[in-house]
Amino acid sequence: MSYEAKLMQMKKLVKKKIPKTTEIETERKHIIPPSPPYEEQWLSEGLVKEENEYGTVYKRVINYDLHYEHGNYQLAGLLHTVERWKEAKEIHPLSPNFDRPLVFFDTETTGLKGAGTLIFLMGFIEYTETSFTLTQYVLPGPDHEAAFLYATNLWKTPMSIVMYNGKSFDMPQVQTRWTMNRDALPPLLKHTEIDLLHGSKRIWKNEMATFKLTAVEEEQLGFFRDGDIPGYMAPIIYQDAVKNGRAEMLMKVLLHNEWDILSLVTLYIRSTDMLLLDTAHATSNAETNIGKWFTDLKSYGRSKEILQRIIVEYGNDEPRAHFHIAFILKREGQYAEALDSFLIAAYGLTGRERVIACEELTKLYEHRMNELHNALKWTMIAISITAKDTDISQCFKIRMGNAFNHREMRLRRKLFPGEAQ
Amino acid sequence: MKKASVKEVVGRLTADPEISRNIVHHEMVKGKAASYAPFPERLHSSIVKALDKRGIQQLYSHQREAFDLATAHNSITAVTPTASGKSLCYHLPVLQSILEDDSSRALYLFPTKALAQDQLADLHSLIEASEETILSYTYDGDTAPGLRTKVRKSGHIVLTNPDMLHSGILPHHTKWVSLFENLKYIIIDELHTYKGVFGSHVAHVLRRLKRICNYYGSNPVFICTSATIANPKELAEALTNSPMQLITNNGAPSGVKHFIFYNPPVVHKTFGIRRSAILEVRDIASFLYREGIQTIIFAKSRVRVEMLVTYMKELTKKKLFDTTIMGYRGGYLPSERRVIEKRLRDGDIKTVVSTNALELGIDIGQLQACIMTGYPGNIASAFQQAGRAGRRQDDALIIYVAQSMALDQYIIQNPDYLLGQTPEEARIHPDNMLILMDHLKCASFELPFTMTEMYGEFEVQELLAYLESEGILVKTSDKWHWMTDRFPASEISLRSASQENVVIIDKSIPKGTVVIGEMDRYSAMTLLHEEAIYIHQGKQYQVELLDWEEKKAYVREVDVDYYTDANLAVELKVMSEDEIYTLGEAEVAYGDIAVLAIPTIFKKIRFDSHDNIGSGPISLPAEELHTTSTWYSFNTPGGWKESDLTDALTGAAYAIQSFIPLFVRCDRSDIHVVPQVKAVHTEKPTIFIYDSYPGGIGLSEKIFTRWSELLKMAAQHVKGCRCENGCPVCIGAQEEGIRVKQDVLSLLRALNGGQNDVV
Repeated sequence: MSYEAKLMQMKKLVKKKIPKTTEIETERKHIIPPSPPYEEQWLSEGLVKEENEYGTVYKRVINYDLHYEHGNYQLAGLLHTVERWKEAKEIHPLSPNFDRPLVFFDTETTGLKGAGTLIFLMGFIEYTETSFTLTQYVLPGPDHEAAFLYATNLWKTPMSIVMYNGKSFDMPQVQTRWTMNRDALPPLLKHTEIDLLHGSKRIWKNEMATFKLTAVEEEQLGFFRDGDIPGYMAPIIYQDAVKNGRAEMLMKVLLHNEWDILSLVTLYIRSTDMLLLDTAHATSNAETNIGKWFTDLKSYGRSKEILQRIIVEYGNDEPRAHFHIAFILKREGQYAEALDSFLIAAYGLTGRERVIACEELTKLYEHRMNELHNALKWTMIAISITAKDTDISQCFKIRMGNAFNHREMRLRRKLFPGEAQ
Repeated sequence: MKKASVKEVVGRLTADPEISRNIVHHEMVKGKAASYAPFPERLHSSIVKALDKRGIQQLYSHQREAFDLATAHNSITAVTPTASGKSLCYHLPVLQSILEDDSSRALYLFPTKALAQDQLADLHSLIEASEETILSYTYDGDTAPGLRTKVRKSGHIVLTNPDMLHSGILPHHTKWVSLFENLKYIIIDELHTYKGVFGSHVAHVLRRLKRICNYYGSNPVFICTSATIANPKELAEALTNSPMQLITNNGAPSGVKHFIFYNPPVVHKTFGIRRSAILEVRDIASFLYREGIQTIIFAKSRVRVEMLVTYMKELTKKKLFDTTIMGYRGGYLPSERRVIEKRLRDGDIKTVVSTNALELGIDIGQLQACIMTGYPGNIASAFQQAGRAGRRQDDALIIYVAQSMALDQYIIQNPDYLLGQTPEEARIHPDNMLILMDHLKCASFELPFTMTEMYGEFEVQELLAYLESEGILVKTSDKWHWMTDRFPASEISLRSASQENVVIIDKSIPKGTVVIGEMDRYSAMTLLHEEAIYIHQGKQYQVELLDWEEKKAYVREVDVDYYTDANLAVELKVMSEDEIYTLGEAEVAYGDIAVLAIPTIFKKIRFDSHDNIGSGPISLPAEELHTTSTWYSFNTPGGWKESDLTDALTGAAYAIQSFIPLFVRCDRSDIHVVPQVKAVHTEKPTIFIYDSYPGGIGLSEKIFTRWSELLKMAAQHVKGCRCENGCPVCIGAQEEGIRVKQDVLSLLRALNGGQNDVV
């Protein structure tokens, strides 16, 4: 029978009541829910039961020694990483808050968004001077959510939390679940959020096609998964475990989550090395990206140092380094040097950056060097490439085109006063 | 040149023999003086200051009543004609609540995004005049991501639309805690637009909204404003599931209104075809333009608006940069519209030609005259359009120009129908099982139901159990929890009832294809088949490809003078007969039916003349629709052959179909009339009327009790039609030489119990 026919038959089942004035539920008492009927089956797969004042939560705890290897890296490297951040004294989105414990965090959820999406797995890696510990909390069933959330330290201790896309996904989800249980639970604390997806995009821009964590693992961390379940299967597996009581596949999700978090540790080590060490074996592209990132963070000294190092090593083969250092030089008032760098950029680059380099050249020639003929020459070059370049957006084309046309008129007036334009 | 007054112009118009011989009826409706009330004592001084800056020292009586009732925590529905200061009915209590308690919040709902953005400007200017810091924002698809968090956390007043509430706010209610905890008022503007399927959906969105408010501990007051309809209180109560107090004592003044009913002369006697209404409107509007009367012309489609604008601009073509004649319709840029609205208010524009886009509450000030090109389809719209004319105590002129269509001709012959002040009922049907089930899913997603909880007025535990058996919910010790990775709101469109919709993709610009709408698949069979002309916001598109598997229709914008009409071969099966009564010798029943529909061919029909100018086949698989229906079955009158009966019944059904919009407020396509000479269920000649939407939307239920009236009206109309052998106005175009009209008439006479006074 079709869905529609079924519904038409059910019509008789729906009864109605006359609306009465709405009564507001004032008090919601919290009753501790019973353990789910499939508890034995789940625990037999290796989960450990923990009870608290809100109900039940299941756990899986794993210890790693300092020399545990995940891909190309040992976990122990993290101890140096934190030291490096302390020495660097940078205000940087990847820098931990040293007053807070540093933890690595990832969740698995039953959907992508909205109040009906549950978190069913939260994994944390914490460390001491001697070992690393993974703690995974598993939601026994939707009625145990308060117990599940309460079991974590998210309400107790402010932490520095390292995540992958956590700023836009994991933390808002945690916030949502907390709000759904706000009558029962103590408030959620505000944590320091460190998002490695953002960092990876900044560092490996132009050289990675996708920033899926598995791609970063394979290309940057030397870790290759064997027997992993794809992430999009996780919701279906959890639903099946709740509806049918079987947890074998659920343990695969726990392994998937474990790998995710281990990769967070090594990715954090790798990213930090690239940012703060000059011996990190990066490509000139990635190094230029890093230099640009420091510029954007207004850390001009460090930025200039990195860009200069690239220029020494690669010369004119990395025109983007010249492009970015030119802005710093211009900022410092070294106009002649800035001009040289923009010239290298204008000849070596394509697309949007080339147009901007030309614009900078015209500005410098016109206002700083007072070489109006050169200014006009570069304006004409800029007009020509802006019109021809097919890689730049239409909007940018129009905006820059208009600006260059205005500039051309002004320059011609200055150069040839009194002539008809 | 001294400008003529409306009164003088009416005199000249009726004195002109060319015009006056086509005037079928002229009526004057008396004006009325304003009824005022002082400001309430508790009204905050900043609001008083803001009103004072607008030159308002006292309120209209209905505004005062709204304030008193709403601030005493009563939900209200105010019936307010165009330009009666309706927005103050809700702005005042809302601003008062915020000025008394800064944590207070209000939610304004408008049927469209554009209206919300419009009203924001009005609200801003009022707040600015009060010199208080009250934050108001629109929240819709256009809201910048960076601004969204601010709107959620600190917007005092959030202006949005039901679709956004449905899929962008309610499923994410945890991000709106400060709004839902402190929600004092929910404003529903343009209440009358929430009818039919859309209204039924919105009714559920509001039930979900109330459920969320209850969860966060707020109990907001509803303030609804509506144009004149027959049942504002009933509609508001059904929509909000809350008791309402009705405010009808409109205190705004109005001047004398002159109604002129104008019927274009017949140019083709055999087919009963009249001169084009557009040309008549052009002539009358040109006359008014020359007299200096500021006029609004309503036309039904974008094409006609543009045609009229082109015709009218002939008047100004010799003047450079003259823009005293303008068009206004969907598809213009918002900025363009704002300019036109302002110039209308300032009186720079003398004549504006508009689609029904200007029916809704956009502020263009008041004009002197209104011309309706044809009947807008229902009385409430006609009132709204007429309401655009009339400046306070001045006279207003409203001219109704009939087209050749059945409804238009009925109206012109029965002016009392329009002037009798009995607008239609707007009906919604939240009981529709499909709609109910859709929103029950959304509600479950938003908050788990407990084992004893009701959903609005519905007992839903058994439905929740059904959803559990379908694997959508999981039952735990005390609740039904959502347990799939789906996001139900995104699968449900408020603008249609069935779940699997056909997406309409505009590929006019090859590199810039955009989705412009969607349609339930049952309607899509007849409206989106290949080569169909699909009209969207007044623009015409031709369907180039219908991918039925993928449920996608690719369309391209065209400009043609015809529309398409598809034939459906329909099999009906009665599933349950819920009610039955006898009417003379006939039986009338109401119940559920299954409709098996196969589209066969489509016809191309020219606008206005309704000539058939071509046809083609449609090849699509059959669709099954379960819906509600009412049917009328009767014994074959003595002496009738079956073949004669077939033609007569088809003609009678055609006549009946065209009158249904007079009974229930709906579009022609919302309801179907199917005649059967020998129906399987009744074994007699039977006329079925059924709702076009799965599950039904309460239209046939309404008609169930009114068959005798419907048949009588159909008979009168067919008889009154001037054609000889049947025409598109009465029983549909007939082939030459066949005298079906007589048969239809005698059949209708028989169905009306042989009463000769009727036919």
